[in-house]
Amino acid sequence: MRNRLPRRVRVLGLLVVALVATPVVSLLCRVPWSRMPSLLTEQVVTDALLLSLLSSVLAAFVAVTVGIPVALLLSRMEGVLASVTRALIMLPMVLPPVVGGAALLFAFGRKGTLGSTLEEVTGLVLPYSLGGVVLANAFVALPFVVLTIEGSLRSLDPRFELAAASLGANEFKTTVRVVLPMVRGSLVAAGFLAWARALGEFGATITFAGNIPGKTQTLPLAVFVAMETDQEAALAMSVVLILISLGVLLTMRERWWPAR
Amino acid sequence: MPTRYKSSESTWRRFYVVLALCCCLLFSGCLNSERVFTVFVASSMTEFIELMLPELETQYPDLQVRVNIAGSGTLVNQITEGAAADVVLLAGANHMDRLQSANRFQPPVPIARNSLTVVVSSDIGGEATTISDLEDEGLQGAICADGAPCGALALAFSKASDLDLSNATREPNVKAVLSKVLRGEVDYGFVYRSDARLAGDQLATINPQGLDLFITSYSLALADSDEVSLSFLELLTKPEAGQILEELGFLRP
Repeated sequence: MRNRLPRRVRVLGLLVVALVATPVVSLLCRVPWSRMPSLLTEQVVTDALLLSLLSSVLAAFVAVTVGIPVALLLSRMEGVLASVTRALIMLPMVLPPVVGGAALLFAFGRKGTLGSTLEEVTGLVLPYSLGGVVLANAFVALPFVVLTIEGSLRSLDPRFELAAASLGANEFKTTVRVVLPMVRGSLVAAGFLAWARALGEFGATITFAGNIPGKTQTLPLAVFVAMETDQEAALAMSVVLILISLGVLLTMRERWWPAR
Repeated sequence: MPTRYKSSESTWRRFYVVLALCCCLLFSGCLNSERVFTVFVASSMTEFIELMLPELETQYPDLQVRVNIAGSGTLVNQITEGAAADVVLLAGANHMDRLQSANRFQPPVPIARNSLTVVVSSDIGGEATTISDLEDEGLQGAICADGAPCGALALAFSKASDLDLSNATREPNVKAVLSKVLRGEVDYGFVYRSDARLAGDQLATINPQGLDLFITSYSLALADSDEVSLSFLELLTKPEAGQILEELGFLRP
């Protein structure tokens, strides 16, 4: 039996919860519920919704795919090198997304260090395309993926790898057939976390991929534009984003904060 | 363990002391007698205001001027949601109407007008000389978002002249469009003449027939007719201001 909390802690805690809930509830109070169906079926909105779903799912897959080798690498590193590498990988998580988007432009933009070569060799232009949206989203989601997967890799019992090796499995087979299946729970959790982060991405997307309706205008960007032209549409789209986010948080509760 | 309880009590006491100190600091800021004058400015008027403000500051040395620059739609949203402004300089009659209908601002005074032009990145400056060249495969354009008057004008022009702008990126304000063209991230952009003038020789411009008919007008609204606000209005409407506006590429009201 836990100690009963002091009253001022309980009051303060509840007060903060109420304070966090207030903006969301206030937004919901302003939503023109009766007009929701017509607002949400406008071309701009459906385009943005579809694009958001497509790009965030793709970004989650990209982030998990490239995040796995990074997490494996980090889980075997020790000391200063590990700290520095981890800090570098975590950077997009704490960086303002706009800065991340600008950094992406300098690297993969048409004038960027890699982007100009990419355009010359393959003719591929990442900014102002779906690929650009996916890249920007994956960039900001990657730290969450690496953090999640590395955590469960580190808590893995090394005896399973020893057993696999003693039974004749080579390094590749041990990694792919033994280690990764054992952390598949965290792979799924990382994927959903990346997806949720990508769905709400704004700063990096508008800076790197621009804001072209039907092409790179995701739901958060459409909300931003609609705030100035059609506030009711902006509110309707916000409701969709809130519902999706809440849904993800509730479905993933077992994986992200187990046994509570 | 009694000693631990004691230390947790003193932690709470410390917490309250810090809280009280923070409150004192906050209120001392409010008690400061220096007059704050808040100016909301449409993004395309940035340079003009920066040129005019020093005169106001010499007139009122104790005045602390705060400038808030954004697209006109954003500015009106901020005010209708409770932001406090002493004077508001907006582009676009529709945004001024929104401000007037939602608030207790005084009737607007026209300050200037501005028309659109197309700036072309130096990379393709030689190749794109007419408006139809802009529809070439692979060219990327930029316009302002629909909420900003420069975006609404560009879309109106595209409708009137059958120019396809559906692939252009919608930037939050006109300065963002200009900087994207300057950095070569997009090939062309629809900006105001005053903004094109800022870029100088770095960018070529295209002026298709009829584009100069798409004009936005700027107007200033005061929250109160106090002395400082009236001086500001006078500063912006006197003949010298008109000259500065013309030098910057604006049209007189």
